[in-house]
Amino acid sequence: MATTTVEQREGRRQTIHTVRNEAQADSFEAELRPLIPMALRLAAGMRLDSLDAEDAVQSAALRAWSKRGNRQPGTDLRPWFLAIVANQCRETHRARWASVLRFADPPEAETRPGDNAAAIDLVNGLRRLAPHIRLAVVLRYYLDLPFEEVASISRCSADAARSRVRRGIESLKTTLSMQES
Amino acid sequence: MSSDDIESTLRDGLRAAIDPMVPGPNAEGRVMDAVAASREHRRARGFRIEQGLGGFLVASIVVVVVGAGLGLSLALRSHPIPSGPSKTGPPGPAPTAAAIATATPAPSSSASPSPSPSDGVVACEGAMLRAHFIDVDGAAGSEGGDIMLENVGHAPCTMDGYTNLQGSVDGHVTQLGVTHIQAVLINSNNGTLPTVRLITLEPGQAAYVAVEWTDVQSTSTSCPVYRTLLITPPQGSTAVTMTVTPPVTPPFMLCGSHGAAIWINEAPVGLTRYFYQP
Repeated sequence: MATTTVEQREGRRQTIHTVRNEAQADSFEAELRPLIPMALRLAAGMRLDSLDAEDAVQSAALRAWSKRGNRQPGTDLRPWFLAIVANQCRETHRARWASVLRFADPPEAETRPGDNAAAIDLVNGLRRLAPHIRLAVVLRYYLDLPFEEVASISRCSADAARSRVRRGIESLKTTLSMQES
Repeated sequence: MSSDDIESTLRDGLRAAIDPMVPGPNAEGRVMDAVAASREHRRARGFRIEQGLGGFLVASIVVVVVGAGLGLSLALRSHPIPSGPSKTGPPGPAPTAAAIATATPAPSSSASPSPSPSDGVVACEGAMLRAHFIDVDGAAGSEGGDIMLENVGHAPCTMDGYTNLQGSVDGHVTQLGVTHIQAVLINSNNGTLPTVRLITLEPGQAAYVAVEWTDVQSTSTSCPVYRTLLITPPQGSTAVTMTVTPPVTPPFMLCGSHGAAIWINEAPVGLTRYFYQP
């Protein structure tokens, strides 16, 4: 009699645990999905390559999914996830093939920066920036995020984020002046 | 240029430069598909682990409860039960140790957990295995074959799930990215892939891992070539080395294909040869 009760309790506990986990996973995926386009833009700005960008976001999404339990309850998913994407962009430096999943629907053909000379110059300018500076510039001026969020994603203070953006602009100023003229 | 002008120019310039490099509209779906696939895989594994833990917990509780009942029963037996009004007679003899030791519990259908096939069997490690590449098959740039993992030890061992694959070139080891699959391989020879399940390898017995990859170079970047693979069993911590020799030519040249980057499909460890053709 006691055995049956224990088994029933254990069964119920497992069912509740599974249902709760499934619900949390569903909720996380629903929260994550709308952030993917922004993550792809961030990764494109960081990796400056379409396939690299998708690989980085895919890896970041898998990492975020597996680490979702580490997220503080009530915190905004966007800076947390974009920080993972930014980290992944740094870590997957030229290691594209190591993290690829294949699907029947393959990625689009590799794209190149805008064909005009100004765009190519700007991309070359971005490549010369240190990754943490490039991240700040891309977050601020490509994704149009406020400094507080730039700081949160970059894991630095808002002042440091402003400083990084300033340094990025200084480095790109020559390129930008040429574009303006 | 004023500060505002610079910022405005930078915004426009970044859009013009980066927008063409943003992955296309289908990328979002592919990323979420990868998450869903990972979730499915973890759910399958997690369910089995939970089942295992749950069963173990229930069995433990049953053992404790039955054990306690038995102990209580023996304790009561060890003390003479007052019978009748004779309070002045000598006390009965104390039970001997032998009597306690030979006491048997009442039969119970659920008194002890039934032993599982893996009871007392360790997880396979690389050192217990020998690896060969067999049943090589492929066409149109899609190569495939079975990695045979033979238990060369003197004791059985278990595996459950997917092996880890690493490639080695001149001693430099690289983690290989793989897609874990349980559905269909492109080179579907027998159409039935093994599912993730616990297998026990007796000494001399072999398990198989079906893999497939492409060796067609579709970009200007040359494809890495691996003549040595390091295969770590699913629950193992050490790898078995497999040197790839002809007729696998070129040996594990891993390329991108179908417009995608490099990939290897890998099936779970099973006891049947997927690519075998009689």
